[in-house]
Amino acid sequence: MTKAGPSASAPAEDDIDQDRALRAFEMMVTIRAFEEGAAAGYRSSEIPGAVHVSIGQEAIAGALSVAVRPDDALLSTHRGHGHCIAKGVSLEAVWAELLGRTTGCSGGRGGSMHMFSAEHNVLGTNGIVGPNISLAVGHALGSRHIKHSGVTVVMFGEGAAATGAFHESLQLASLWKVPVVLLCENNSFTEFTPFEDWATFSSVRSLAERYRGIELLQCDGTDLLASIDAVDRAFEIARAGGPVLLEAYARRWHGHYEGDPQRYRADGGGAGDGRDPLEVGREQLVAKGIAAEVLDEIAARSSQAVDDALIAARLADEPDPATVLDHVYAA
Amino acid sequence: MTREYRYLDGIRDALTHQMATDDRVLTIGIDVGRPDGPYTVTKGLYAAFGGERVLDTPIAEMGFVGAAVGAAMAGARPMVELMYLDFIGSCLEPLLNQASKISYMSNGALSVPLVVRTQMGTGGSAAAQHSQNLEAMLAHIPGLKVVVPATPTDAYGLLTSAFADPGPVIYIENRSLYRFRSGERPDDGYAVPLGQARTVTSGDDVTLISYSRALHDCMTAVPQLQEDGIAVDLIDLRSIVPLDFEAVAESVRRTHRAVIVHDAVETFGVGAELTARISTELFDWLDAPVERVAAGYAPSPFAPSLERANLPNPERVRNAVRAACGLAAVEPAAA
Repeated sequence: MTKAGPSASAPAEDDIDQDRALRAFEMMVTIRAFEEGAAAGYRSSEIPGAVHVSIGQEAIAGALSVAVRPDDALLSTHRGHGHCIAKGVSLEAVWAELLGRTTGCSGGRGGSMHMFSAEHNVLGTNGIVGPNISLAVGHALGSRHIKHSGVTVVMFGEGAAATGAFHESLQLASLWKVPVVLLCENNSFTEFTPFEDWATFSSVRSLAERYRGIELLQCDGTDLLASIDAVDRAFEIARAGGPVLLEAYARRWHGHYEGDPQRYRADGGGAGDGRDPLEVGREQLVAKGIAAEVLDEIAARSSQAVDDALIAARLADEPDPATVLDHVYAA
Repeated sequence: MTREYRYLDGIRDALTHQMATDDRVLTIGIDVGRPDGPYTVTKGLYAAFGGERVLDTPIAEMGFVGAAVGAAMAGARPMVELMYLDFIGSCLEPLLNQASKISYMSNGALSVPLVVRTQMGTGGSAAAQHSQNLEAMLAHIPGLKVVVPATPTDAYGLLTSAFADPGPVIYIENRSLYRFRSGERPDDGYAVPLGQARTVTSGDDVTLISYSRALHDCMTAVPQLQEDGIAVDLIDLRSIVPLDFEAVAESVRRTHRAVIVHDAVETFGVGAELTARISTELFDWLDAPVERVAAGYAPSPFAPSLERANLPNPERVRNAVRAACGLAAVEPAAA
């Protein structure tokens, strides 16, 4: 990974509150446990449909979880379980959605790629690459007009930077100067193609530079403290009213989807020459004086919470077939 | 009746009233603001409400239609103008995969109160990329409502209801009707419910079903058919989704014959859906096969002679109705 650069405005790490760092760490390990469980659920066929996990990218969601507020809105991607959890959706509601149960955050109507939670301002993971950026820019516009206090954050991958929706949306975000956080997780792979093999530009930021008034940030998305700092800064800019694009570099450890044979990866997957964000975060927290036992306890507790939530989700009912035509139209 | 009120006025007045009475309403689109709108429908809005609520956009249909979907999810009431229905090729995504499905995918917890105003129209040699009648394509997407006004007062009343709807509504004007005058200006806030067809003329011999511009060909044919001894029950659907099939069924149970007329291509069209439902649900009442009058299965041609040849007209309507009633054609059909 040659792309990962230092944070645009690296602060002294001590500036980051220890409690927030710990909470972000807990979110990271929780998401790792959840995604490993989801991958297993795919392999055992307990989860119907496609599953895309975010292992290797957890520091970004961890940082998101301590920067985002309840009144902020989140739009996510097909790889969005962690983002929903980071925004406050319960583990049980995400599990139940993956299992197609009534207690799922979308009542079993959405599934992994179409998860919504109105009470958490989660406006959808998304099965289509690109349009969530347009929706987010418009949501920020509408939100400002209605005078909501929050900002809108949209997650997308580097692959989305090739879409017309990305460019049209950035043009509008620039023109309308809306409070939106455009959070690009550059995870090195666009479906089955390494970023370097298709991108004729150096970075997603370099494309965004062409649109006036969008502040540009980058960070190493495998570095917990750097990610917290960069995501904090991005939300600060949006809360001040303007659009901001943060490109966070990480590496997708698994295939595009679970079951992807990954013939395009010489190393067959995993961290490659990249770092494990959990290990990096752990070292950083130990360096801040937090006892290793405390971190172990957090990891064990998180793993248990994920397991307990799965057990609870399994007990929920499947949707009543008689309701299949409900909610096509809003009431 | 003064016959002074234009279709264009109906749209503009309803929209202006919404802008004036509901601060959540935004007008978004290409040239809708300072230039006063490509067909002047949004004339005066920018001057009255300013750039914060009347937003001119670049030619970025996917971006701004998607943005309107997002704005609706934030609690605004955006009206996004798509200059030509044909341009939906550039922005079907936010309607097909986003707006139409968000209520369902969120288990009813979220909605997208969005109005997409656009216009279609054949005639005038606008040709293949500016003449398509794509209402059936949109009606095929569960979650969208599709409105097709034919008269000035309906243009007003249906747009009012589109704004009141909690979900995405595609409101399709017909540009060949913009200068059509009939009726008087309705009261402020006048509403026509979506999914309530209108009986234009009453008769017990045949049910004639149409909407938008083609309805006017039917209205021309009705007096001729009266002279032929055929009393026509003419129904204006007003909206394709919701479809007021009960109005159709009530009429066909009386007349035992049905003819459907639209400018869109016949194949897989609104007429095909109506024919299927009439044939299935009203089989025992039918005395004749259901007839359709619609465009042939081709892109819209440029040459006026070709364009005329491919469109419904009053003569084709008249002969289709005569056929449904077992009478010979009075003259060769135009196509």
